[in-house]
Amino acid sequence: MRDDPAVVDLVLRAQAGDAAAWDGIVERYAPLVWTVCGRYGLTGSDADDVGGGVWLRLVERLDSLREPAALPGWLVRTTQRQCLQLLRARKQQVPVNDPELGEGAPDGEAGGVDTDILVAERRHALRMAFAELPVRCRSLLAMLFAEPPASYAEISVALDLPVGAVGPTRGRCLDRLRRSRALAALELA
Amino acid sequence: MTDVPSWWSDDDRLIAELGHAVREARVPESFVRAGKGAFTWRTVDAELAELRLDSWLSASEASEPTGLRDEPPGRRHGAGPRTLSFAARELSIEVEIHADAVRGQLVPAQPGTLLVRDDDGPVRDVPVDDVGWFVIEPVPARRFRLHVRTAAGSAVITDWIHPQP
Repeated sequence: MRDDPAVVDLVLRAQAGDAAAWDGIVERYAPLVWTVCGRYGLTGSDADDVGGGVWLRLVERLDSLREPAALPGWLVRTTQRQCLQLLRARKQQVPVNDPELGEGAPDGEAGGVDTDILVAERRHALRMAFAELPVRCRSLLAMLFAEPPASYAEISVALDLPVGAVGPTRGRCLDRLRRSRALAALELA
Repeated sequence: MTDVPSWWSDDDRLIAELGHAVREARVPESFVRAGKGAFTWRTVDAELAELRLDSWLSASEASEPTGLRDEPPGRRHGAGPRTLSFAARELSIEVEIHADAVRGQLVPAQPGTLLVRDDDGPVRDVPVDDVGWFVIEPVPARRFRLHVRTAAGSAVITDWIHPQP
């Protein structure tokens, strides 16, 4: 993801005041911020509060952002800080010892930042690659990664495909996924 | 990229990772909306709204007591919420600090949005309704200031407010 040209472009346009480019940044990185909140046990309105604060800070910092490649790392660290702050504030208001507060949250140090970013970039690339697949491949793979996954018999009915063809089709779809530009770019990074 | 082969080469793991990726992107709409809305706070130059009244301070401590001394002094020990008043040239912000929330109103009454800031920067934004009312819930734990932008386009920021005495 080193200076992903799409991200650089979004940042430059947002710096110039383009609201659509800002929306693009939020859409791209909201899953990353959301995932970090989730690791601190924060969901629902708590996560909304943390996320809102993170984006407000980024708006203020946008002009001083010289290296768009540094953006994901900054987002992860800022989200971690905001999560910890919210949890600490909770603790002060609720003097009862809540075991979840002490142990559920990671240390908040930089340890997991690189992993977070790596996983986020990989999953972003996977989503891009998935979106480029033909609709039949998307349907088939979606049934396979559903929770719980569909059986080959169910897929056969849904896609009007002989049961024996489900496995080979699955293989072809995964090959297309691997050959996509989005994933190829990831491998080169 | 040493971890590529593990999820990349194995079909089952690739499908599993793809599932994670797609599910992870199902972030609640409210979460994304709040992020997009933050951009409206870009490049807002705000006029300072000065403290004119704090019911916790005696008349002599308030910066400009004239004309606002209808309130009995010494409310600190009295009943009712702490009240503060901030004034800019064309806009005043009346604030009440309750136990559960900060409630306030813009005068003259008008809609807009409000940003709560603390020493680290912006914290959260809340709407100001058509008659100028707003609610910040819960009360910020640390000192904060209110950055108001009216629908008409003026922007005002208050002095610091210390929620504790």
